[in-house]
Amino acid sequence: MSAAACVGRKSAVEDEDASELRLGADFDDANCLSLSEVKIVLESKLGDDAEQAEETSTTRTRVFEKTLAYAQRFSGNTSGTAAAAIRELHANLGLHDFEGAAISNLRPQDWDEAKTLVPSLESDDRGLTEEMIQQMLDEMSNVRKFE
Amino acid sequence: MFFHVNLERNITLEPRHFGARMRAVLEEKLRHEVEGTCSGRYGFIVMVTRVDDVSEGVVVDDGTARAKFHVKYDCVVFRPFKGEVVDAVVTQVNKFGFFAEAGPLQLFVSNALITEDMQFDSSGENCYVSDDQQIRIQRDASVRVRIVGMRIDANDIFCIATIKDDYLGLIDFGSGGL
Repeated sequence: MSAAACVGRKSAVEDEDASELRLGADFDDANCLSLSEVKIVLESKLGDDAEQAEETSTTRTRVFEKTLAYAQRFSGNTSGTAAAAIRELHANLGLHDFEGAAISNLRPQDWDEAKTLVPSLESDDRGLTEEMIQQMLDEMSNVRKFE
Repeated sequence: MFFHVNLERNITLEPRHFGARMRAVLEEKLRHEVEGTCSGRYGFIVMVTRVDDVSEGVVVDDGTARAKFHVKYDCVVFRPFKGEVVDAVVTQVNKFGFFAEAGPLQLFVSNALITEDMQFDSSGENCYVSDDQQIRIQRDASVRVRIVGMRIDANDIFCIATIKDDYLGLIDFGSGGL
């Protein structure tokens, strides 16, 4: 990589800020996955490998192992149907994919916690009110409770 | 944050692999080359989920007769962002702060970014303890942190994080589960 390219890359990174939803050109429109979704994907890969009785290089990388352990520890045992229901709740509210995934990972209890952890929810032009968010958070915890 | 993204890469294949199983070999080679790697641009590549387009092979003209294929694939990546809040597991505590891991990502929370009411205590296992002794950050504890800075190396990303804000800090004492 040339020196100029390095400098360009660096300033691009400095311009990113998740609290204002500036994720850079590569990720602005990318699909985000919540931890429970990541866990489902990784565990299904393990299941496929076990079924075919072969171990692939995929599951043996350090990154895969660490990610799986992390997802299992923090995803809070959300099933596939619950994850889909939660994704739909977020889509109905018009949340950005990144906010939706962040909220499912962090599971805030109320509006104040949600806007502190995911500050972009609070920006003026979004039209998201405290009631809307609070209702969504309540429904989310119901989905988790009664799945 | 985890993302599902579409990336592309050039894969070269030796002539002995040309034949009926070529596509399988190509996918295997792609997985081997990209999974588990880390770049500053896309973060950690956790797993290739689908190979959706393989170009026609072009034999390279360097005399090796190998063929180059342009491959497009979907994969799960983990890419941290400044300002993002993540949960992490504490791995090491010392008087300068503590290290934690969020999946493949290493984080460091320096003691300047730990709330003032928490003091370093090395009388037993190294830890940070609050004045009222109620909160104890030690190895294997779960903490919630906000990423404030990133250092991007050729094949690693390292983050500086803070717990000095509302709703951040210890979430459980360790040994799994919330």
